[in-house]
Amino acid sequence: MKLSDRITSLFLITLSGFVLIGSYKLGIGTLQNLGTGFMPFLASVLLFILSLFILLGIGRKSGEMNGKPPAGWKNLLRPGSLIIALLVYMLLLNHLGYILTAFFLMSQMFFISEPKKWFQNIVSSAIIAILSFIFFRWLQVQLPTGVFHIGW
Amino acid sequence: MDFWQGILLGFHNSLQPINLLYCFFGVFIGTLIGVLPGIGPAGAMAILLPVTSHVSPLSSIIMLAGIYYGAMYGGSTTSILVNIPGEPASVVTCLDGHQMALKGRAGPALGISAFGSFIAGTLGIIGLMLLAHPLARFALKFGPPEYVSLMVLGLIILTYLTEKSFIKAMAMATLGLILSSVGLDIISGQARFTFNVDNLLEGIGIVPMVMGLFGVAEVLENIEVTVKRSIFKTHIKGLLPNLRDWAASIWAIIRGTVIGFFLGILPGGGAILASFVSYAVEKRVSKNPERFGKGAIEGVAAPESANNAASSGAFIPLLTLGIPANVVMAMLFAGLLIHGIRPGPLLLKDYPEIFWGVIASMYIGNVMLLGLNLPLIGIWVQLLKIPFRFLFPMIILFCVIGVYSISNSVFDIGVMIVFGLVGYIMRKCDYEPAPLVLAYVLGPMLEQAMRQSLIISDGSFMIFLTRPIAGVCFAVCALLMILACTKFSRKKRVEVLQE
Repeated sequence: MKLSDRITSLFLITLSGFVLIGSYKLGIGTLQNLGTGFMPFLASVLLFILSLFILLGIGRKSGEMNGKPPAGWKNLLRPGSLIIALLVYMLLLNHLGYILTAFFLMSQMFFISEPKKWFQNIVSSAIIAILSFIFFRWLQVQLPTGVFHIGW
Repeated sequence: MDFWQGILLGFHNSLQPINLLYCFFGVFIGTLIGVLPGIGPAGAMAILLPVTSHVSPLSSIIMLAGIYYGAMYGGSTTSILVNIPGEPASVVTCLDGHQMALKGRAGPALGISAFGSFIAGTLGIIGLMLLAHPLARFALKFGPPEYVSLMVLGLIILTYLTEKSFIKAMAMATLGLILSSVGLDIISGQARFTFNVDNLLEGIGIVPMVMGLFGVAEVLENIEVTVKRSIFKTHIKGLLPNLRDWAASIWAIIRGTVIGFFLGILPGGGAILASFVSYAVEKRVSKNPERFGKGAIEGVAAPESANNAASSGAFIPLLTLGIPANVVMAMLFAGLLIHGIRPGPLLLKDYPEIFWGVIASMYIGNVMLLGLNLPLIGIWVQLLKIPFRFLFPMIILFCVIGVYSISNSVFDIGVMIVFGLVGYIMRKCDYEPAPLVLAYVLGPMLEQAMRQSLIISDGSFMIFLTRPIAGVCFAVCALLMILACTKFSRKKRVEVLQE
């Protein structure tokens, strides 16, 4: 049994249990008149059974690893940094406006892949932030200008 | 409106300068994302989906369709030259295409791939035109039970054909159904699983979800390590295949077209399956199967023809029944919904300009693609030299702004980030996102059709078995489930996938 299967199946079992209770509360209705909760109820029962199968290893292909950590988690630092950068971008977008936050996001992303070329990264980020703003505005996309009112 | 009037109307609309421009834009972007490994047609369509809300419905669908079949053309370039498939439907092309390139025959490999794609694409469109029209009329006789059975069949086929675990794919499909129930209930208007968040009242947005699962997750996986691609360094000459190449390939192209077209129609099927099956068939019918994998030109012609024919065939269930056959079609479905147009049997009657316009644009798009892929092959090869560290920031920026522009909401960016993370974990744990997205798109329709069916039958599930079409579909579903659960079939399936 792969550790990743164990963790994901337990998560899915918990989720299905939660949906099962939630949909029961919404009302399943009768077969003649299905309630609001019928479809999620049915889906959650199915998900519960399938997750149980995954947990028990039913339908697993032969030759899979036993008791080993999930394969392929090579370098979590870069994906993790990108997720954090995106979250910060999301939180600041309306406050600082598009150009400043896009500059921040781009510089973070360039930094993730090439940390040593900091000057090149900053210049590239500034150029992309400004050019992309012009491009998106040309596409008539409304972008926030933030508290500093940078842009139009 | 009769058949010929429809075709004339289609060409009249698709030859409008603005539609020609969007068609070119679509096939260009499609070839680009096909050439560049990393982001597939579903991700690219998701990124451009918000942009389509600013243009006419026909132009937007012409562009999105162009991305799909354009990607099928472009995908072969990286398979042949770099041995990395540009998109999943070109995986098989690597086997013989790259071997041909190593033997100094990159030109004929690229040439037969482009010509095969063109022939198959054109024949596929003729098939689409001939079949879609009568099928759309026939589909008017379909009732809710037939729709339920077709949608369930589509989901079961997609999960059955999954590369990874059948159980996991089924679990993802059910998760998709659960996610589709978030928001206001379509009949009672009652809020479901919204946790008093106003942004969730209309449900989880399909665009942020797909961008997260395909675009962001793809980037997260690719930035883990720095991979340096080695590009095949040679002067590509002789793009036009010689008579011997044509003699070896012509039947492979025809067989690939037929196989691809019909597998494309199959709900849950699509270009990936078509390319694999056509390659296996060619190997089986060949007098010298040992040449396959060592640079046989049929091994390039057949899968490349099949994936293009499949991309035409996949339009049939969408345009006639309103059922997206695969994830890419689900994106086209979303593209039409943005404009308030629901694909289905009534599309031909209510929006003939869109129905025929898309079909006619595909003829034009195929001609454009032949021009884009053969004379400009050198430019596409140069594009392969762009490092991923420059590409991924642009992909992320387009994802973020694409999502934000739909409703100027940072909440949607949050949804995209969450699904990006979910998609990343899914990839790491061998769960496929395609069943989830397809189930999510089909969920509301499935629920509505099921409710209507049970009202018609006064609560009896027998309605799904006693109506002929529904009964046959559910019988096929049961058969596939049994096959998936039997040990022999599972072993055989693993063997076929490994092969």
